[in-house]
Amino acid sequence: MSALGGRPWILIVAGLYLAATLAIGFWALRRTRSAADFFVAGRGVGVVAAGLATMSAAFSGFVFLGGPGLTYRLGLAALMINVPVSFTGALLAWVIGKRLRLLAEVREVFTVPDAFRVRFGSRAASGLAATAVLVGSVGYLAAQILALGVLGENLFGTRELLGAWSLPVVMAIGTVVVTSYCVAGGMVAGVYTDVFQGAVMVGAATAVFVQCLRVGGGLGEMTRAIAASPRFGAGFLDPLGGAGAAAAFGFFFVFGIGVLGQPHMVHKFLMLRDPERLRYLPLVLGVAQSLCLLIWLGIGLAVPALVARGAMPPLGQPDDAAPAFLLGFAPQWLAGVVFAGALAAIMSTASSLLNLGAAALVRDVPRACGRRIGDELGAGRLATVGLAIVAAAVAWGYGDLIALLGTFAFGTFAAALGPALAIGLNWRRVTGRAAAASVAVGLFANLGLELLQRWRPAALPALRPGVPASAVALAASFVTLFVVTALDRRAVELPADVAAVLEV
Amino acid sequence: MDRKVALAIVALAPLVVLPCLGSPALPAQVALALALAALPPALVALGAARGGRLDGILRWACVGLFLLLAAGLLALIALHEHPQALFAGVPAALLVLLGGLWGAPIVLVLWVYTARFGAFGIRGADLERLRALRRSAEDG
Repeated sequence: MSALGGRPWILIVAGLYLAATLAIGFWALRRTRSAADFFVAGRGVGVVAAGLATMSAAFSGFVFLGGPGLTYRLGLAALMINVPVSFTGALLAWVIGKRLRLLAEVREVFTVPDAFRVRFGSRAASGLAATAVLVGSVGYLAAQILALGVLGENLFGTRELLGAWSLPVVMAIGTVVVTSYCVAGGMVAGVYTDVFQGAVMVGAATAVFVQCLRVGGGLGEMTRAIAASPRFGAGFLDPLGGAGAAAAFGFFFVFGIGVLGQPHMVHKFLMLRDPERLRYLPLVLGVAQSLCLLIWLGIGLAVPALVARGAMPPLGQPDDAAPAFLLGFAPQWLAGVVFAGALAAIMSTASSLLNLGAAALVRDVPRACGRRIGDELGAGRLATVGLAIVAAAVAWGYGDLIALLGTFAFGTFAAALGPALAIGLNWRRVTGRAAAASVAVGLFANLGLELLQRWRPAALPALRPGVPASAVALAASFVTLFVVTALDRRAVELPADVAAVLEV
Repeated sequence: MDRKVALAIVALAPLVVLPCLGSPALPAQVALALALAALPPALVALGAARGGRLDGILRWACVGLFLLLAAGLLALIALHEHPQALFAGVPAALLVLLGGLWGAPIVLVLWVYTARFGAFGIRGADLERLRALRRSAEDG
């Protein structure tokens, strides 16, 4: 994998991609003049751009690198993470998009914690939501920086040159590139690089899926080879097999319903220029997501089939599945495009989260404390740099799988923000107290269960093996919201404009 | 009425999910599958209801989505004991994932959302009313 010197087209395509991304960032610099430009792209984004940007912000390096690796390890159970995309785009628009976008018509709503403050009139709920955004963003960012480092090492072959310093050096370079275009262009840069990156991701994923079918001989041939192999066997093809039914259904729950709490996706609704164009957003999002996930399905089946036939040696690390296929079984130009697509996936998610984390730091947390920062634009740029440094430090010191860090971050957003947003925007009886309790339970249950799974004292009971901690935290957050709402007997008094939004 | 039913389902489903995630018994898996299949359409109904009621086509679409997801998840439970079952040369479980849980729901959901947007989505009149509210608030 380090022998890229003999494959110049891979480096040329990846280099062109990086140059184009930086060029968009600096073009956006000239269009960023206000806090609204920095945080919600001046609320001037069209529906195709918003759909592609939502997809590319949602799909990180996990789809391009971690997904095929997870399938190699767990079999078809890993696809239970993917199948909810059949309804998640429209679910987001139905449950969150409409009322969130309308809330932004009547009040100044730039961020998800802003929406909490306006809807629930509660600084506690808004402050807890901002804390969840901050914690989740640092976790997500750290996962992206780590993925960027691993991919960059493979792409540029730095391990042979730099030895143990290879990963931190490549992570540092990647962090500087992403941070520089986010600091320069804020969300204008973020959203337009997302659009470019989304287009690259869709093209790369579709092309590599065709290549997988060609190399593997079609779905039937690949699955026959896998089933006949003693290494994988028929159990590989059982979605409830590899990790057990609890894990498979837990994935379905967290990734299907937890999508309602992902601020980097929800945030894109606030940028739409024309709210009535929301009609076409799920169409663009659903089609783009489905095409993009073809890479997970294709490489996830092709690599085990090739290993089963003896055409590829067994993988030392499951995460090597995608690079091993691309370097061994794809033409150079396609490998270059897919490596660029993976870089795009990682960098687009990282840029969205840098912007959201910065907004939480300079806007949401101070407002929850009853204060305001005068120069939000300047402070936002400083906060972006600070967050990138913290996330890079977490990535360097983490020392575990990229997928675990990413799943924790997705689960944090899902459990902390999903129930309060989904129910609170559609049922006026939900109070600020109930929203704050739900966010707190979701945030701390997810964090606590994750820590317990790693360092559990013998006296405490364990979760059933395979059950995702975030699934338990998400369900607990829903239950808390309904119980506290039922117990809270105070009459809910909403301002006329907020009540009007909830009635639409 | 539609919204109340949807709220009841959304409130009850997590109460089923929590204990069933911890149990390997078949009845718990079936209950978990049904709760997970019920949540997305119930949330859709909650978000799409206007004046507490759902557009007729949308109501049937929610029922259809529940049936598709429930059938798909229950089929996976049934196929768990027969991972080598084939259909047209492809493992049946893979076809359930790709066709039953991915392909069919996405066509249904995207078609209904786009075609029926006028029945539940943002209308010009809504925007005018809300913008007038904002203007009157700004005017003091």
